[in-house]
Amino acid sequence: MSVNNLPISKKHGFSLVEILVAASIMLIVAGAITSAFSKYILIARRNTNSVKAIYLLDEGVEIVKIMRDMSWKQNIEPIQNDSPFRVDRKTYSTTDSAELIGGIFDRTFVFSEICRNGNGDISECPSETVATDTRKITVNVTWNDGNGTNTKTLSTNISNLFRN
Amino acid sequence: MDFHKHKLSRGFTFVETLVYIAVFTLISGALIELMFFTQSTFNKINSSEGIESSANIFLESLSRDVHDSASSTIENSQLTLYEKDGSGNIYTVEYSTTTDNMLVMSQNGYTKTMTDPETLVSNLSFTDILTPHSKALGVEVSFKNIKSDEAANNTFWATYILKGSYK
Repeated sequence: MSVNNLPISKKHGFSLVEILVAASIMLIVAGAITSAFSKYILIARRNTNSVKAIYLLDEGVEIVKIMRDMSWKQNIEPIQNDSPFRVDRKTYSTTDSAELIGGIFDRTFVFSEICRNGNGDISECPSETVATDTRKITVNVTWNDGNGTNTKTLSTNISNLFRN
Repeated sequence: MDFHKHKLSRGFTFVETLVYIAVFTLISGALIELMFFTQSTFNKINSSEGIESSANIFLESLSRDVHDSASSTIENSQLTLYEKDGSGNIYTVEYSTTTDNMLVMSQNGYTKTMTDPETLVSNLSFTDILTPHSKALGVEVSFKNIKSDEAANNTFWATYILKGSYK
């Protein structure tokens, strides 16, 4: 028979070693796909928190405006430059409580000085006069998603519009 | 025939068959596990995308309407905003939830759904904030996926000042 003339290696099926090699290749590929997916999940979850953080930043700026509308003298003037503070979301006054928003977001605010040049325009600080009626406010939202700390920042200038 | 006497023509031994079955079971187990994992990942991503897009559509639309309005009323988590058009006529914009937990905006008899078809509102609350010079509106909204029972913490917070209320 012609089959007897073939070399032995052509006649037998897969050996155990071959099966094991094939199996381990398949498992390695499957493992790689799984870990890629878990990264994808992680990023998707992180993204929802980023969206929330952006609205919290936006809200932070509105909160400082509300404090300004209430009274610049009482709410804005006493706060030192470059020292971070938190605001109570019910009373709109500064608070020492570091309670996290929704259990994960920490929102801090910090004022810094703004300068005006001879024309009254806002300019680089060290060389010009410090403005008394306008301050720079920076809002930071920080949260930990179990895989590290994330921070988003927004800043704007706020003026004593109502001379209050 | 010589062929039948050859060692390699015997087929598989019992032990070999057992090893093959074990390997096959392990691999198919891993693959089925992977399939379930892929499915649940897809569901999670799908649900968080629906929640994010609903939150964005709602809050972007609300911020524009609140900024444009001069006054507002809140009644049982239904918000009515009073805005002025180009010729100074006052018109109203309403935000509320329907009985089947969708978020809708209505204006001049025209109603628009703000939530993604697979996303429901589980909580919506508005708060008035009054200052001597302005009025602001706080909003807290929670969303959930239509299929999931999990009480996922998907709450968004925002506050907007009614620019027309400045005095």
